[in-house]
Amino acid sequence: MLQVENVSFRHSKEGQDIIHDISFSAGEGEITTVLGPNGSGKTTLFRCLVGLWRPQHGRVRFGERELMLLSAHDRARLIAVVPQDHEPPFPYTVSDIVIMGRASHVAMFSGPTDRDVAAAHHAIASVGIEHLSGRPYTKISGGERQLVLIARALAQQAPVLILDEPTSHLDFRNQVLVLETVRSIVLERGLTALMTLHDPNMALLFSDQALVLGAGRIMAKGKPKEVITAETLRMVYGIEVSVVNYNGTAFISPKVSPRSTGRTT
Amino acid sequence: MRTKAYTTAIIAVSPFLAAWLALFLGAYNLSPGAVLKALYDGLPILGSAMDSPERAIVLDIRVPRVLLAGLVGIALSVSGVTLQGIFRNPLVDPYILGISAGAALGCALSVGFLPHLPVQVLAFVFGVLAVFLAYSMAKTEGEVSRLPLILSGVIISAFFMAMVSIVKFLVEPMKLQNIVFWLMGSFSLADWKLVGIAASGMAIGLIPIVFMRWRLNVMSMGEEEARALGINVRRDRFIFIASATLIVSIAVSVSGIIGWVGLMVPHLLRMVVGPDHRRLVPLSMAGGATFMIVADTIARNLTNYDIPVGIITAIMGAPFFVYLMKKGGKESWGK
Repeated sequence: MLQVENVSFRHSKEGQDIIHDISFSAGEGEITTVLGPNGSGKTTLFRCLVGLWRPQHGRVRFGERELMLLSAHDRARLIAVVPQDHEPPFPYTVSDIVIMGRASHVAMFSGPTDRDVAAAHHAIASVGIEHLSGRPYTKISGGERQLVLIARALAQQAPVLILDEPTSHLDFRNQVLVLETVRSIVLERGLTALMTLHDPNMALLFSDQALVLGAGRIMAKGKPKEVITAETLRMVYGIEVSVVNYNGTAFISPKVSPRSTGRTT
Repeated sequence: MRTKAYTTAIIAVSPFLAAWLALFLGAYNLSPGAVLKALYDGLPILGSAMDSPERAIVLDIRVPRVLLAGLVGIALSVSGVTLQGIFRNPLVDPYILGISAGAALGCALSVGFLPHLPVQVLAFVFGVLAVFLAYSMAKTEGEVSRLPLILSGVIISAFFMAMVSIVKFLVEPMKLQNIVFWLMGSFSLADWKLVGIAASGMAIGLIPIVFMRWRLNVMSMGEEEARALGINVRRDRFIFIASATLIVSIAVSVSGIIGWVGLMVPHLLRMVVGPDHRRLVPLSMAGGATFMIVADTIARNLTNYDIPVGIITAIMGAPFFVYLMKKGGKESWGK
């Protein structure tokens, strides 16, 4: 169980809190999704959780361990991060990239051992990209890259998985593919997963818990269906939406003004 | 995969081949038989203790010169590959970052004013100062982008070379001649003592780089990502930069400023064997040694004079840099 307790962060002493009094807990084998408009503090929250920024108040615990007090090495054994799609300066192969996930398991004055190589292969296989392992990471598609980064996080063998907008640069098919892969792995390995998404429909489909952030505060948290409602979305995004229920699944549809009322020619 | 294994093997044996061939070429014309005899005589136990001019030329001039060239080649290309990985920038090397100029200033000060201190000490101090200045000048909001880093390297180089000029202006004529000749970059002063200094000093810097080389892969992904993967970035970056600077300072102290090697060799090898530092670092050692031995053999055989090898590498390096810039296009200059 990952427990976030009263976390607040600001850049300078005089400044405003960017996130204020954030508390929630995320369970094993579950995906907790954080929704919220740009600038609502999602990224700040994640940066605090992975130890890049140190919150002024509050604490983050995983089991008995206080995450803020850990070194980068120890933290990497508890939390694996899937960053947003990026381009490294050198054309490493997919397996070179995945094996980097073993950095916290490799001794300082040596390289990856056979055990690390095996863990990387296993991770590559569990996201189904064996056919890519010899390819340069810079020459594959955005969706494939996201799967590679997920494989790298799995190779890290940490119980907590954090994904920063894993679908932001992906086409429709790849969004579904990536999120389905994440969900099956989280269930299979009993990981505690936390991710940010932009699309409320994807959040409804793929999360066990949802958290809606607005202006650095938690506006709603709980079961996705109860949290992602017309009222909360209007409150944080300032737009009107309708929620459609079909076969027990809820869909969000923004209310768009009809075309004819706009310009006339 | 097969061809890659062959290429790797060829690169790995190339320095031995180059060194062997280089022994047979030189200003004083010796027949291959005479060279072989001199080498055989030099062997402990088996050889004879008889002194001869051939023996002196081969054992006291050519062998140490080839060894020194090889060592300096290793130093320059390994430090190039290390700095490129740490700074995530394929366009930097110790020369471009101003480390060579800093080390040169340290050496010039030593030669000119502190004759009792080993030149390596001040070379290292000023080399570290140069890379620290270039790094902090280029750093904005925690990020070191490509173009600013190269620009600050140019600035640091220019500044330290101006300081070297002041030293040249102030020292007595005999010392001036030494400094000027040595600055051009040459192995003509090679002897066994310099080989010993170079080998022992470089070993101290090379050992951590060689053993930690896989971490260069992780660190080249960027500071935040490396930290999230569990690397103590500050500590490791310090070790890598200090080690690279140490080996460059030693190289500069024994052979002057030889530019571009640290840029060209790693780049060519990356095209052949890929960017994985587990392979790239050892192969850069081999490739750098071969390149330097070949360049020096050309330098001392092309004309009747011993052309400073730094001139040869600069003639090759500058067009190479332009080629990389054009090939990389916009990407080379972005973040």
